[in-house]
Amino acid sequence: MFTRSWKFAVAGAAVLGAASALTAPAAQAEDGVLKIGAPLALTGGLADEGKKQQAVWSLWLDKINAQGGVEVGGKKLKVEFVEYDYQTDGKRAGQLAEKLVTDDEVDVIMAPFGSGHTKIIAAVAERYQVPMLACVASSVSVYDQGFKYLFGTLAPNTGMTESMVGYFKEKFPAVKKVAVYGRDDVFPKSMATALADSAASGGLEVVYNELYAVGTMDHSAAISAIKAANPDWVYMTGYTQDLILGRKQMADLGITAPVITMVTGPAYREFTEGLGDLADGVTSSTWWHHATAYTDTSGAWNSTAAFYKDFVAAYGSDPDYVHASCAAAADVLVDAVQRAGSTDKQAVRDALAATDMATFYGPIDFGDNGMNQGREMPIIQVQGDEIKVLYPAAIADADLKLID
Amino acid sequence: MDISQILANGIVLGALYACIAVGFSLVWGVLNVINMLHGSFIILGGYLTYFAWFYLGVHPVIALAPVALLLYLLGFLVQYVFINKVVTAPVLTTLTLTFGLDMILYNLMTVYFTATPRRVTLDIGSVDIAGVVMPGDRLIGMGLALLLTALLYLVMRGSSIGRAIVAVRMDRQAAALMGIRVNRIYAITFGIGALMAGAAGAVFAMVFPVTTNLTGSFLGKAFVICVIGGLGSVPGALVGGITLGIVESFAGYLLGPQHAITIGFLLMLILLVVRPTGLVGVKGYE
Repeated sequence: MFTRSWKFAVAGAAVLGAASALTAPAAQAEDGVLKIGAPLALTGGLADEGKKQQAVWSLWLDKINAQGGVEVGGKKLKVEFVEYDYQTDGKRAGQLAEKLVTDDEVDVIMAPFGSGHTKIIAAVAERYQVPMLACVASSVSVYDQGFKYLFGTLAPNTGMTESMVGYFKEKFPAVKKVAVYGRDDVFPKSMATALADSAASGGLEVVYNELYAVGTMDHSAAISAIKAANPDWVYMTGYTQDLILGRKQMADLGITAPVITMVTGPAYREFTEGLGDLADGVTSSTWWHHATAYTDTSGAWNSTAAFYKDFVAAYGSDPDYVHASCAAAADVLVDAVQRAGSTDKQAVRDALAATDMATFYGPIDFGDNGMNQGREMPIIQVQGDEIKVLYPAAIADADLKLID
Repeated sequence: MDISQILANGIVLGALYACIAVGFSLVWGVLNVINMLHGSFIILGGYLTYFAWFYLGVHPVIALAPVALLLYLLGFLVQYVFINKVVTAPVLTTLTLTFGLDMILYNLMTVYFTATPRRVTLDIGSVDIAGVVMPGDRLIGMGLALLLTALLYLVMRGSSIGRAIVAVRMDRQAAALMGIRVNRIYAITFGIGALMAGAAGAVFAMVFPVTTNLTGSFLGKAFVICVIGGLGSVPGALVGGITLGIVESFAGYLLGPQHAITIGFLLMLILLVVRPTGLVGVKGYE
């Protein structure tokens, strides 16, 4: 009996010793390095989006480190990303964020794609008081939790829908009835709700306002009901696969509304490729499109065109708002660290709160809740093979085209 | 709103659902294997069809046969190499094995094909029959789905392989004593299940976007349809599919689209309690 207990004790000590030997080296923070932690969805349902973030940060990092890093308080800091794949699993995202803070000792966290997963990681960042930049989360519900360490480069959904209702009323005065059909998921739902509210307060009649469940593989019942309500404007939100299916079924079942808006469909090339001619005339609002031409900007790129050129040269495809917003978030971070004069978390957090920066992605100025309040969101439309910017007037390059 | 339109939507959707489930039901009924690979097999069929159309200009209806055959070979191999080793083990073992294989296939597809939704953009318009609008590609899809299901039914009833499959399903040991090579029949059955998934993928490439994001949805549907219709018979999958299609269509219209899927699951739960064999299932396969 004594012998067995003794053996267990030795075995237990050996296991504990091995475990601490494995974890000890990682626990030391490095000097002269700005460490950015990024839990990313590199596999699973959001893998495409996670890979976009990874790709653009790699491009950004090459550009920064080619200049020898960033100058902070008179000395050069190297920038390093620590990335983990959370496999599109929210729970795992939270665990990995915790690992990034406690194990890898990162100076700041970059949030992954989507409001849902950003919310989970924001709670971890807040608990450990680590500054966090969210580049692909736009739902106000993420930011209205009173968190002090969370900052987002996308602007609130509501601003987007109000300007859209105003624009369509001006350009298409015959618009009276709108049908709203949204995916029952954090971001698409908040956009659909915001649009229905903005339309109603803008004097339009909301003739259909429903959500569809995540995993819906057929929209014929809803689209038949929308057809019966005969709207002038159909507004649908969802992810690209939902929107491709939805637009196709609208055409199949004979929806004839002159304005069809899909958020954020046309912002992605796969939407237009997956729909072919059916994409023509579909409008959308987006946080950014490479057709928006900002110049004299600070950060890694001095204009939208310069970013676009570098991105296309590196990847052979067009960047979308995920790429742009995430690269701009990295620019904002560097700017804040430089103003703070160190990587001290509290100082960086305070510097982030005071950000007012013109980037290739557009102006960034965080409001009290941490969201970017500095931008007017563009309205875009597929016209033939091109994406045209309809709004705001300062960067517009086309007029609204009604669908025949 | 015209009720006939809602009914027509439901029937067309239901036929496509039947096409999803028939191979899954066969494998579950005969092998007692819950094939978690089924959704990924459908999407693989969809990708092969899409690539044949995009790069070679092959129409999905033409691509259907070769794609289905390729999936048959893949299914046969998977069963012969992996699943036959544990096919007599409790259902949880085979479920875990197919789950693991599914993760490999799913992630391979995500890495090499990306999860970007793709679609065969052959928009052939709609047919208007007395005010009821039926999309052309869904009608073709429905026709193919019914044809494939009927073919499988005939193979199961009329061919020696079909009879051998039925014999193995009824009594594995007696079938082996009669000289049927059980492991080979298992591999053939699994191959046919994959073949039907591949054919469904080819049909769906015209109707739904092809993306790995949908594998879980297809698998979930197959599961619900099998429980509703009943395991172990081709008509079970057909009845289950069409019932689910009609129920979802009416629930989506009457209660709102966010409840359509929930009502489908509710129907499944009710049937599990009051009629575990499903609507037309064979006793002993509940």
